[in-house]
Amino acid sequence: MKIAVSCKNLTKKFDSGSNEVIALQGINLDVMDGELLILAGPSGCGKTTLISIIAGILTQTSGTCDVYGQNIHDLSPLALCTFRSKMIGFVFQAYNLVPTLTSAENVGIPLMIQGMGHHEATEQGREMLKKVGLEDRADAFSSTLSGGQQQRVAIARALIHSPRLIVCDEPTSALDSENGLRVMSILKDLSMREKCALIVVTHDARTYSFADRIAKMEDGRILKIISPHEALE
Amino acid sequence: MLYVGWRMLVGNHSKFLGIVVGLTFAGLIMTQQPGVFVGLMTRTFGFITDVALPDIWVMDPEVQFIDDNKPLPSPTLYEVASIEGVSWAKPLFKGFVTARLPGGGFQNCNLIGVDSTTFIGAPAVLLQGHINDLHQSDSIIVNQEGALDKLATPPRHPGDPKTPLQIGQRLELNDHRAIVVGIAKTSRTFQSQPIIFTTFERAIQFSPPQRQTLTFILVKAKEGENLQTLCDRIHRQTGLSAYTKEQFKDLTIKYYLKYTGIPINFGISVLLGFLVGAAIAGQTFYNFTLENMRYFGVLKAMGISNKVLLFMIVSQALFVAFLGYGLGLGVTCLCALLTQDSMLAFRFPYSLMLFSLGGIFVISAFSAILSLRQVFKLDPAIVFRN
Repeated sequence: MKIAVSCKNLTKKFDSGSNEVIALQGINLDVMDGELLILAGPSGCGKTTLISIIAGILTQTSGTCDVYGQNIHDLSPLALCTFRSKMIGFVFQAYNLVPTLTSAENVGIPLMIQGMGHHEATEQGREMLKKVGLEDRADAFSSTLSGGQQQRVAIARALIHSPRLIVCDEPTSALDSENGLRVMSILKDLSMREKCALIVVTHDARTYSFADRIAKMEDGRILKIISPHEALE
Repeated sequence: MLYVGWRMLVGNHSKFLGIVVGLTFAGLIMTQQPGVFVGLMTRTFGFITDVALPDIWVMDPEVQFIDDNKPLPSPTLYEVASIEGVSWAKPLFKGFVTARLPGGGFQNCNLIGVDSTTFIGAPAVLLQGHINDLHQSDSIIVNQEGALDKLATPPRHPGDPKTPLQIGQRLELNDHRAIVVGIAKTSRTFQSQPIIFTTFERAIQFSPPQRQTLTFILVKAKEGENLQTLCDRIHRQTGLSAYTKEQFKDLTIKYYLKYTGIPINFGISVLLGFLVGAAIAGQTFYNFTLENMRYFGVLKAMGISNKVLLFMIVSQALFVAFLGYGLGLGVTCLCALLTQDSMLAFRFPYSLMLFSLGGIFVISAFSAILSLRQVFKLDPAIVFRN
């Protein structure tokens, strides 16, 4: 299987006044193409920092991070933008849907960023919403959607431009149990169908069963990588 | 992405309204107040505009503006008329007189004495009466504003309307009887005093005795004569000042700009309006950007470039600038329409439109630059912070 993400000796330090905070310490991690990897661990252990670096929106202090063979932090700012717009999909804990756009328009944003016209992108957004079971809410604004529905719209937005890697930050933590499992199920099904790698940061043990592997993190390090079965035991 | 930017802007109704109202207010202040200023300045040379026929005004070199009366010796008229290139030269008396009204009150008036054979200098539009009626003894023509207001008979009972001065009524000008034979339409003057037109000779009788009475000499150049050359020739040969109509208007405006507090007072008003409008609009637009920072962060994370963000924010700023300016201009035009032919002076040349448009764009550009600075600095990793 092809390696989607390869992190070698990844370190990230933040300067916080006189204090230096080490968020990541020598992370070595490979994520395979088509794999769903969960990053689990207590708050402040570096999960979000790690996916931010993998997604190319944060720069590491040392080490390398290759996404589909490309060391993304070697790219120029403009090339990095283009890379992110084509290769990476995002799902956020707070959904981050633009409140003044309809669901279909929100879903179409990644296509608009790539230069597609508004009408065509919205139509494709409408089609994508069918895949997450929200075709009837295509013209609804986010304020009229439930949390679960908003997260499904966000998933449709993350997948519409067929990215090779999707990074999800706590996608189920704001949802109830039923909606959380539904969202994970949709995420898993669609990513498998699209054959993309999926990295999910979560505290939610209910979602472990969807993962291929689970990386347990603590104090900026990956303590162990285990199977869902082991994690649930 | 322009569409997304536009929807982000207009979708937040209260913020959008706040920005537009701020810019409308700024646009209104920046068009209405200068419009009043220009209108007021135009009134200073209203009489020069009304006297349309002559090309050149000849006067004492010490004259600084239209109401600055420094009479010339009478023979000067013939001296000027004999200069090469002059088609004709006519006398004009311009002074002040106190009128005793039919009701017994007094009113200071502008007194204009025009050439009694050609009536050059007389009002072009008579609403009542005929210009030849000025040949009648003691005859005068008064302007409409004066007849309706300051020369009108006061009401007998408070609250009743004034009775306008009418043809046939008498005024007493400096102990001389004057009979109204016409009502004229003239441009409003800066002092808003009534204007009384009569013949040159009669004006001298009406006015207090003075040694010299020729205030201006109105000159028509021969066809094909260069006006500036003729002005220079008149000045060289007589030692008098000779100005074309436009030059005399400029001279008058410059006097008011230099020696009155009008420009500075209006300037402060316009500047305050600009600053208040800029503060409201800039602050609201900046707040709008700050409130949408998370979504700009999401767009940055998704791969939107700074160039596209610049395009989005500049488009948002331009959109509100056009809208606010248009509404401000609309309100100004409405005010101008409602106050047409009233005491309120208002004039809105194209240059003023460009000035105010420029002002609005400066405000919007400033807001956009402030906002862009924040958006460019924005770390897209913000999207993972809750």
